[in-house]
Amino acid sequence: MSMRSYSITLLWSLLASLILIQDDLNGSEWTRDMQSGELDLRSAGSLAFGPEGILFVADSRSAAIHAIATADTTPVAFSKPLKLEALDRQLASMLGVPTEEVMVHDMAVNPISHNIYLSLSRGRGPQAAPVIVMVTPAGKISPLEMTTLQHSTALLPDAPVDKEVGEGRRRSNPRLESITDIAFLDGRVLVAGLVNEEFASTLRAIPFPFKQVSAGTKVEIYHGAHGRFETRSPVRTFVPFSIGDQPHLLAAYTCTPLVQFPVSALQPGAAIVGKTVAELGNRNRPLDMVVYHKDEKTFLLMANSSRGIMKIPAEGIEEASGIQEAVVDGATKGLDYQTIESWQGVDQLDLIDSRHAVLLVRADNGPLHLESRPLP
Amino acid sequence: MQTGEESLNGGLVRGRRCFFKAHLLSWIHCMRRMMTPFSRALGREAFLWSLAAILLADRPILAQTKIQWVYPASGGTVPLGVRLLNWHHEAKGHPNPELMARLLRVYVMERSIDPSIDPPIIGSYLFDEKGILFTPRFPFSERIGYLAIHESMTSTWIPDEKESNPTQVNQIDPQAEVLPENLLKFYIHFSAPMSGGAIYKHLRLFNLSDRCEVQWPFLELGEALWNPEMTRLTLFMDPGRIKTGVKPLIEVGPSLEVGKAYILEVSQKWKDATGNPLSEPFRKTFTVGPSERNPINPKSWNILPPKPGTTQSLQVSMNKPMDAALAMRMIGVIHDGQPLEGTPWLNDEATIWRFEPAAPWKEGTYGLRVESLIEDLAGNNIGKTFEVDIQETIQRRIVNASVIIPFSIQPKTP
Repeated sequence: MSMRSYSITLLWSLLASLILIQDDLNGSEWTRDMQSGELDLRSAGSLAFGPEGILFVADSRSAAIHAIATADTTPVAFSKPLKLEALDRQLASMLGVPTEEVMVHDMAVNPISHNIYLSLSRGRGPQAAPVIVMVTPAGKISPLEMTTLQHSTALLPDAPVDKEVGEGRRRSNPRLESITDIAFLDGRVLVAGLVNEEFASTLRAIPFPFKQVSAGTKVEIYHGAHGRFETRSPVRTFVPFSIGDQPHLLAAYTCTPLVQFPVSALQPGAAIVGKTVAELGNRNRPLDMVVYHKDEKTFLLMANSSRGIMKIPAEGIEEASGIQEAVVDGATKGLDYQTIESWQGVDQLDLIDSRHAVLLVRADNGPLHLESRPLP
Repeated sequence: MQTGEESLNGGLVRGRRCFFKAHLLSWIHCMRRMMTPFSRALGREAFLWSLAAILLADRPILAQTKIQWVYPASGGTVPLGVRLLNWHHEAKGHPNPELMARLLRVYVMERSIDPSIDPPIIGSYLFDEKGILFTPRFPFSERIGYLAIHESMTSTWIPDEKESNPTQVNQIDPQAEVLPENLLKFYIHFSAPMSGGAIYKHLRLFNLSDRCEVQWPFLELGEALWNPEMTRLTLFMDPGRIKTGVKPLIEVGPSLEVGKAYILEVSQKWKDATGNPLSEPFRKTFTVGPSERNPINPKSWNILPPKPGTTQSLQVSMNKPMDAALAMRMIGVIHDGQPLEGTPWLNDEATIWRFEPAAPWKEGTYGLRVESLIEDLAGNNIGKTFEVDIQETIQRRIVNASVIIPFSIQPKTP
């Protein structure tokens, strides 16, 4: 062996071991405590991406959040527009059920690979199977293989009281919490939910990687209407949002106001009153929100049930002093916003890259389309 | 799965190669025995002709590729998979999954699904001496037909018509005929599991007094609030039309108004978990009374203690209707600091709670424990109203605790 080839071999070995070490370091931080094998997923609802292609899945039926290492970490540039017509029909065709038996619950884009993940249920009733599918930016659909991926699970802190009621064979625990939204922020998974019995208003923060001992933080969220009346207010959807360098949450309550509160307020047992930054009117069911940057400005895009997409400049949110008086006219108080009328029927939205959003659009109870559009 | 295939084929169907080999051997055996001088004279031609005859005779059987639905060995009418029987790979080695997926495609038989453009059902493919076996990733449904396609050949599987008892609405809580203007929720109880999805189109609220439908009265959620069996739906009234000072209430007013009569209607079109519509629509008629804005005070409840040594029910008269689900879960009896085993019961109006102990009552002191998160029909809790006027009081924190009201079991005084 010549000196040169020896050096090359040595170089390769060094490089290979460096790569191995690097992989090990990356893998160890977030996935060290994960396990391999079949994930017992009983339902698939809200989705959010964490670091290194880790997908968080809300499983209301198990009162749990699952973290799945998708291993989908190869960056792929999003280069040409995506349009998948009648996605629900295609999914039904692949899953072998009528179209009306496929329900799409949430969508999240892997920020590394730009692949789009959808949580679905296949079939009807309590036996419906949870499914997670991945759609590439090129439009190829494939279900996530649950048997081979690494995963970990956190049971919701203070999950439904495990108390059965009824008699004999009818004994059961009817209480169930529906997880309305999740997000990953600074090493914690934030979870908002609604209970099917008591009108609870808890928001939870669960440290990730999930640990056995730390159950996480639970806070109660309140809505103060105009400085006088205060009610518990469950959060329907929320998005992490920075004001200055302080992380905040921008949240939409079930009674429609859009509020903000600092993440630092999520202390164990705290009671948080969100600062109202906008009052949304009747029929205005907030569905999904994303934050993006354009022309050196930050904007919030909000899909809701009645109007086209609302585009709200972040300056308004940062400067909002909170609405103190009652709304008397028909206008949306608090914030200036622009309605993007052409974006009608948007059920879900997420960013696919820094300049494009991907949308799930259903117009007038028609088929569900998946498409990308340049950010407004 | 494996046993299913074995029982299905019963060893009758074999690969073409085995079939051919077996026939060729028996033919040579026959020829040897039947060799006569005459046949020898015919020589080589006769040998070739008879061989050709055998091959031609076998050909239709050998080449018969067909689609076969594979059923569970244990019985059952829904197939586990589909087999392309007697298909053989002409080239050496096994066909790859892509080729098998092209050769045998399976589709849902639904009007909107078009095999020429829509993707086939996903699943796994296996190649063996019987041919190609397709197993769907998710089991075939017993509610719809399936179509298998191989080149120009098709085969369908259609489920049997099933007789099933139609599902109905058993009751809607609260059952009282007069409900508060700030009513927070309904519970709809079904006789069997229901299907989820777009449920709100099946729920309508009519204002009988003004002869109109109430627009957007409910809190509509992406993931509706069911019990795990999907036999009970929790339907929240839109809190934006209950809470003082929020925009929906100011814009369009409350969903329910004092003094007016309403009908909550559950549509017959709502499908249950088996895909069948309800047996009939369900209508709950009620009138609306004043808002309930007082906290719950269990200390004002009337407790009627039973006699010692009996398993008579303890009776508690609550001074207003409670949320039925929470009253069943959040009220209990304690004795010596421990929860007492027994069966709770609630009247239809959710104003009387009874408790039958598993063992007879003993003389002494017991406690009625009520969790502070219990709600009345308007979401008021113990010591705290649904809406708090913070100019009067600030009591932001609901302590997740309980109130205990002692009562004693004593022999009846003469």
